[in-house]
Amino acid sequence: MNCYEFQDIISSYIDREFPLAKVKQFDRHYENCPACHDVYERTVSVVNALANSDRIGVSRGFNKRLQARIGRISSRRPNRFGRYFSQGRILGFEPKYAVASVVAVVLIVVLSVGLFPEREGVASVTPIPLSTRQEVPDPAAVPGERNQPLESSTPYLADETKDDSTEAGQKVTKSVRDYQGKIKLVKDRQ
Amino acid sequence: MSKKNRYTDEELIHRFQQGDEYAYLELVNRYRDRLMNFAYRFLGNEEDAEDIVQDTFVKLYTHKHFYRSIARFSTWIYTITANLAKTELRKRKRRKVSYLSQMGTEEKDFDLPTEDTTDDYAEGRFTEAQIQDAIQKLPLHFRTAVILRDIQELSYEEISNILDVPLGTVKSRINRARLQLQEELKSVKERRRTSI
Repeated sequence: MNCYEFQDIISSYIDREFPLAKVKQFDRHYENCPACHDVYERTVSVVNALANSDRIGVSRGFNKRLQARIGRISSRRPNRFGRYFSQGRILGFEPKYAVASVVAVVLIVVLSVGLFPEREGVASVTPIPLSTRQEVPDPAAVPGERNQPLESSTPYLADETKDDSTEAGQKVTKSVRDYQGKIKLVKDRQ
Repeated sequence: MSKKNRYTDEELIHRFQQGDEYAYLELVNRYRDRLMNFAYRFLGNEEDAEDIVQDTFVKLYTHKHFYRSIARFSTWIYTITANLAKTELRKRKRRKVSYLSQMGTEEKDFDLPTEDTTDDYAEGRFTEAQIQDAIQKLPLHFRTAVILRDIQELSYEEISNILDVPLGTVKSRINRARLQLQEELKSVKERRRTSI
């Protein structure tokens, strides 16, 4: 054990927080090194001095003063937002920094709206002028269109890959297209 | 033994959380001197130390529901005091800087003589003032650790919880603080020897 190692573990030795395996090495160094011997003795005397130092207590009337202070605190009306603006600070920041932060955030929002135009693919909120809209026939105007029996809508579910070379196949494909067209129109109108 | 003394600190704080004000008073009576001693050793000034202890108990009163039974009550209350004392030291540092900037060139610092006697010196004892001076010269984290260990006599584990650092760090801080203290007190003695 060298002097550095010895001085590193002096406190552990004094407080008996020391591995027993190292006690012999520690004792040997203590006996053979006068400098470390002195350091150890002085450290022990410091520990004893601290342990025997005067205990300072509170002054008379401590409890009364404390109770008066607590009485004042309890009688104060609770302020819901008081903690956000306590000790002359706003949310824990000095007012100038709080104001600067708010201004910075507002500037960032304003600049980002101004600098970045509307991206492609994002639906526009501007209504399309009526003149450019496709004319959509009102399905209610077509008699019998609404109250068609359910069977007539079956082709909607029909498979498009169906062979349409036959007459029946062509009919089915046509009615499927018609229905899809109508659905699209209704969706667009909505 | 009074009836109240049968309660542990944790039971008392629990009762206080339920609204029992007597439990609070009992906690104040149990801890006021311990915390005062700790704060005084830390700050080196009785008036400031008492203010810190008052603040601690006010915090205990207003933030009683912040205590969770996972930690020991003593650990919690020492942590509050230590944090308040550190804040006070930081404030003092700021004040000191502004005083220095206002100080004129003619003003000088004077060292007040310590109260130790030659008898004490001959017996190898240290006076209160010497001990307090030496403690004040320690860096903050060493100071807290050594006060909690050697003056408040807390275990390494409790100190580790209060300071929120690993056990190994606590051991190392205490060791380095003690070595620094013995160096400081040794030099005090040497200065005295040369002046005699």
